[in-house]
Amino acid sequence: MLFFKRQWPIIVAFVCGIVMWARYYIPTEQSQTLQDEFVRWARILFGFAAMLGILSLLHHHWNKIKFKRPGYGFSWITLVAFVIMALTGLLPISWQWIGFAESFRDLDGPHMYLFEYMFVPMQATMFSVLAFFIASAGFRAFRARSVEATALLVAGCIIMIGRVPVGDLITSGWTASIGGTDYSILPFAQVTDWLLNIPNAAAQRGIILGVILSQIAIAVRIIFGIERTYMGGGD
Amino acid sequence: MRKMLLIAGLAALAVVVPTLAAAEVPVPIETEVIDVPNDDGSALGVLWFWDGDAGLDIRVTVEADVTRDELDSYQLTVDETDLLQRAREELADRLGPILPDLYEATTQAAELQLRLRAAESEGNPDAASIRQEYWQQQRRATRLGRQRDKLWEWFEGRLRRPGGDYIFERAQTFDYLTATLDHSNWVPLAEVSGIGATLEEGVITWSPKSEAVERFGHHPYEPDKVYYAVGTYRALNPGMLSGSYTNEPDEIDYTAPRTITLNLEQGRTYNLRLVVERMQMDGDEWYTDENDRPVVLESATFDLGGGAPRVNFFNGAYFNNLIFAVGFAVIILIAIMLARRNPNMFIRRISGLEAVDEAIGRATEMGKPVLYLCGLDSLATLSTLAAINILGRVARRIADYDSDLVVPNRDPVVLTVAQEVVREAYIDQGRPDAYKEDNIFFVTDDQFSFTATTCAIMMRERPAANFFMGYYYAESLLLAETGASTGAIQIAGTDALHQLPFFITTCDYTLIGEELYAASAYLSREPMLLGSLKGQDLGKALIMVLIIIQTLLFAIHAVIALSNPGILQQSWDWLKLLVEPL
Amino acid sequence: MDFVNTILNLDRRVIYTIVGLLVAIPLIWPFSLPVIPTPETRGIYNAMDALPPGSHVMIAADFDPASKPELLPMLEALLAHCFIKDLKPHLLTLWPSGPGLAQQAIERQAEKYGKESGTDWCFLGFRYGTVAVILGMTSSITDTFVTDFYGKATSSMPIYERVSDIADMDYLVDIAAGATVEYWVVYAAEPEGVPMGASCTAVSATSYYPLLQAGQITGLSGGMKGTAEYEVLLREEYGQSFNIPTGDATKGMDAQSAVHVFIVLSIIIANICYFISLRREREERRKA
Repeated sequence: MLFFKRQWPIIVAFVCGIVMWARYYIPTEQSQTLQDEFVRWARILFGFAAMLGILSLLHHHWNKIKFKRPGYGFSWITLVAFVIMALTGLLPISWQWIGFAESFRDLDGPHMYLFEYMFVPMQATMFSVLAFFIASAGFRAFRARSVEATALLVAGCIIMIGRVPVGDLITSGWTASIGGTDYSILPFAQVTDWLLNIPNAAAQRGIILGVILSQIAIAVRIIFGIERTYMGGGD
Repeated sequence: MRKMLLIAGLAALAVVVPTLAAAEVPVPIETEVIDVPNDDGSALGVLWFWDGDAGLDIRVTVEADVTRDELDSYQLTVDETDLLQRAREELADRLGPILPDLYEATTQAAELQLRLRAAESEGNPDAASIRQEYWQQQRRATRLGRQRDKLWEWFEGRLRRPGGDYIFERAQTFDYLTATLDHSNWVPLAEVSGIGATLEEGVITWSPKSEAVERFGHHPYEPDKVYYAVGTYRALNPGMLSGSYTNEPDEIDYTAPRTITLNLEQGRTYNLRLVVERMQMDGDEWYTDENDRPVVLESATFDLGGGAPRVNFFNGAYFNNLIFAVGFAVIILIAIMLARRNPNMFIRRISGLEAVDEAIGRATEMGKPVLYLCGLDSLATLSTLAAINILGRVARRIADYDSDLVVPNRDPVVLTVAQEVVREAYIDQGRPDAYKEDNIFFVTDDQFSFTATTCAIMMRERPAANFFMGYYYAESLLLAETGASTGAIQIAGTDALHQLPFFITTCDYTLIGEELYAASAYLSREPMLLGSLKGQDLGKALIMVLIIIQTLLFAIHAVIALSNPGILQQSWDWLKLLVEPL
Repeated sequence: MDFVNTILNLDRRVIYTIVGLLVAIPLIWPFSLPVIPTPETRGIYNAMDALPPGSHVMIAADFDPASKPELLPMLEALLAHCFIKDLKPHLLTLWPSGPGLAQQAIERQAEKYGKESGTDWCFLGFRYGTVAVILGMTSSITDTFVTDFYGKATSSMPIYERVSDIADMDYLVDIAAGATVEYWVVYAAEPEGVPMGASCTAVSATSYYPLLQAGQITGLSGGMKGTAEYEVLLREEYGQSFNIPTGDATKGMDAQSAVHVFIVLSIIIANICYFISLRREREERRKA
């Protein structure tokens, strides 16, 4: 039994890792079929992972309700909402008295109604809270304490103006003519473009390279059984 | 005499004019048929130069001589034909009563839907009754549709053999191919048009009138020639050839396709020819007649010779990729071996990780828990693995300090692993009694629901230290700003580049990109992790050296090329080849 | 407490209130600031506009309701562009909460331009797996999505007569709220040789400039500004003939401009106050 807990996952990881790595360099039809099979298995497993997520959610909240842990009222709301969304999506419910259609795909149906008028506004609200948080975080944290912080601050301000129509207005509105050519006095748009395409892209590339190399290193460690965190527990 | 001169003149014209006209069709020269390199053995390549001007009015078709041997693989046996016949008849009998009702229900539902939309937009009081009728027809159509689908599943079950062979499809392919070969054994493989000024690498060309969009490339060994890879041909519906094709469903509710695409067979030699046609133009587009067909003014056929598609067992274009990958893996493994012999390897100070002890100590003093997040991605993401790794180290320290650890999770698989990791950490530190499984829990799969819950936990329980490790999306600022408002010390580590600015502004310490991956080596000082880190650094150093060399060569090439365009061209091509497929 | 200290210790709620007003007022009373398209967004627009009628375009709507204001208008604009140019969009999503929004967008646009599902467009829906789904489609789209979102078999659809996998697509656009752009580039666009464009949230856009410069994507539309630029380009070219109204993203630019200006001004004021307070502290220390 210990073999299946300790050694078997390492063998599977090694064989699958080496096979799929080698497959990348082999362009035959059988190689493509192998990839298709793996991909098909992965899609099935992902589907089960989704099921696992649902069961975990139900289990966690049911336990909270059963043992009346603090905040169990919210667990009731979670479970009721889950049931309603699931039923409206799975069953051909016809709520004639409120004028809903029966198919979940129908834009008039109860499922889409709940999605459009409850789920979407709630999600959009959470995301829009970011606008307020950015404003308060910027106000609180953007201080020119050091050279780097000042550079971050100045770049941030230029891009914030450059990426909205106000920046285009200022760029095209305030111009000075030199040698017959009009130059913008505050070229927010051009500077924004330069900042995004040159220093930003260079920094992103550097970080991406480092991250990718780290990911390759972890992948090599997993394939060769050196990294065993995914099995849970000790090394 | 005059009559004779006139006749002679007309005869001369009859010879000269077609010759002149034929000479206007550009001629392919130095043609070659090759096997496409680095493929799965399903394509041939055709290379040629143009002698003449190939403008927008030129249509080029590559045709293959498909022999009747190809029919053998699609031929049905007597038993199979019989089985197919009986299955079709039975399906037709069973579908017979269903189909008319299904068509009627579908049509009526569609009409009622239009009427319903119109009634709703006008505010018509009849909308409610129209809606009722629509639902009824929709339900009826859905029910009948399911019955039809079940019958089709039964039909397919009877005719599909183990291994995927579907007798119905094979029979259809046989019919199509037979009709196509009866019409002509020269079958078009590809049609390309409007290729005049676009004979450049990777430029997309297409016919103004056809749906086919083809890509020209350049063959790596013959970059100046026009190169075209062909691998499939189309067998036509017999109705398309006889002009009787309709796309109406038949008695088993099946709509026969206009064409079936077939692949060239591996190892079989095909004779190819190029058909070059000059089309009549209407401005920049081809002129079409009353049947919407383009009009051909001149045409010429050129034999290309034979070729056989062969499978390549190794994709040569990825050779440099293989060298780099294997080389890097070897470097990592050697570095790990060296680290095992000499565990005292130097890692530069990472301030975020130095502060871990401080953060946990602060939490212990204040009697508040430590909040740890493993990111919002699944275990398939390597940053989540790195976060779990760090969780194990942090859990050991927390067990030591006798503090509380709260780990909300978004992914159930990550939850399971996190629970195992924390439990093992507590056991290793001799504190199995202190482990609380309820503190490591699943919240929800939804991004902002998880964020709202975690923010609520932060506001209620006021953890003294927050760890944000792993991959984050838009919620990073929400989490970090809420944590900052509670006064907690915050350490973040992510390789999500677009979230880094938010963490940097709101957290006390941030691990950027690969520092997250280095963290577990840093905290544990384990030889294998240290060695792997060293190997990564070596790999990075190698890439930096290559970038510097390339930059210098680019600069030198640019300077010298100003006066001598040809010099260093080869070295530039070699360098390009080195990195291109990477 | 003087002005400097007031500013430095300003309650967050004051900032939230000001931001809230600056978002609401321009939406109620718009002042229609001009939106000038950037080369990055033109990259997507020009690539789409250059496609001939009948070309197949794969559009991945990889976003959820949280990113609806930024990205749904982009999806609508792309679909409108497809239908105006008689292109054939294949719409799918790799995010579980994506289908609802994608369905609304495509049905709205299809109805407006009189296009038929299965012939002129196809909505494939959602499948779990992200990378697995993309890889599956490099082999066969109809095997990965056996039925479309509405339950019809994809293999018998006229739109899939000449299209079998991603390599048969003429253009690919990923409208992404997350990191799916990288997956599409690595697993679909680059290996299959399909030109690709990306539209993403403003926050993610900075990460994709390296891809744009390397030519791995032809264009990049970042955030609501990028979407507004695309809408403006579409209206300039086809607005009159096809009666295209001002897009939602364009309308939102006024509010975004106001908030951005406020944030910049507040940062500048806060820093001025910060330096004043630093100078005061130094003076007090000197006196002491």
